[in-house]
Amino acid sequence: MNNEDIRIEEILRHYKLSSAPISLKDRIFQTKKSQWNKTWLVAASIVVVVGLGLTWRISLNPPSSEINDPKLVCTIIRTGKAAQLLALADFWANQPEGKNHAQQIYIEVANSFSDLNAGKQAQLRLKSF
Amino acid sequence: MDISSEVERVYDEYADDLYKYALMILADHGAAEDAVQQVFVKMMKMRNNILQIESFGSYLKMAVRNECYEIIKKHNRFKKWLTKMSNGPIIESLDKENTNEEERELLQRAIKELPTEQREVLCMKIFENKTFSEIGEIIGVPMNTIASRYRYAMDKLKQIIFSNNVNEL
Repeated sequence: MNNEDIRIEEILRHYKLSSAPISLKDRIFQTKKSQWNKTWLVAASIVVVVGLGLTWRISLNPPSSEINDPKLVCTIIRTGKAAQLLALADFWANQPEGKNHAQQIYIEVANSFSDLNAGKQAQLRLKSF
Repeated sequence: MDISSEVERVYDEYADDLYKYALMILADHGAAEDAVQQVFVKMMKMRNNILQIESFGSYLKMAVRNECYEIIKKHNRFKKWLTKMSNGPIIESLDKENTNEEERELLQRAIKELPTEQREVLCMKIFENKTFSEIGEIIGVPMNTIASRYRYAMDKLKQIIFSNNVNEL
């Protein structure tokens, strides 16, 4: 170390490094808080958006109770009709004078609705006549 | 234990020293703030793991040092460093009432012009009164290397200071 070194060191020792600004603490801990706030905000937004979407969908497009498949509609109608006829035939079959009438209806059901359960039931009833 | 208040306690105890350390390396207030902020934000993310830290002092110093060199690396990559190194005084006179603003300005400029590694060693030696061996331990470099860096730093300071305004100092 020569004199110039010592002189510079002496001069430098009259100084200190600047301190941390007070605002830094706020900045750090505020950042953390605002990150949490941001997370909550995002979560709340998602809930609101999903909620609004569901409300909109339910109010403007209520789930339909109509059946739109023609094949299915036809099957339902035929099944109903066959069940009604079968019930009618069963009714006449229990009447003292209604056996013949019942037999005709069973034949009608067995021929027209052979693909349905009612048609098969009618065939079984005919066999027992 | 509330991690946030524990980190706040650690901040109150160490932040000022860490900030000064970051300032030694970066010579820039904005970048030093960023480095310290990053370290504490990462610390908060560690949650209960911070309880395993044995010595906050040395752990945080190393973390700040790493953060500073990361910042330098990033700035070097985008070549923005020199334009950013301009804001605010990095050194203050101990005797605030009799500050020689010209002298302070000249010293600050000379310190800023030093290479990062030399500035780090010089500042630790002068402003923190650390020995070469203590500095070597902190930054993980042999004592002889620290002594050389200090030597080079002093030579550069002399060059800058005495070529500018030797008589006024």
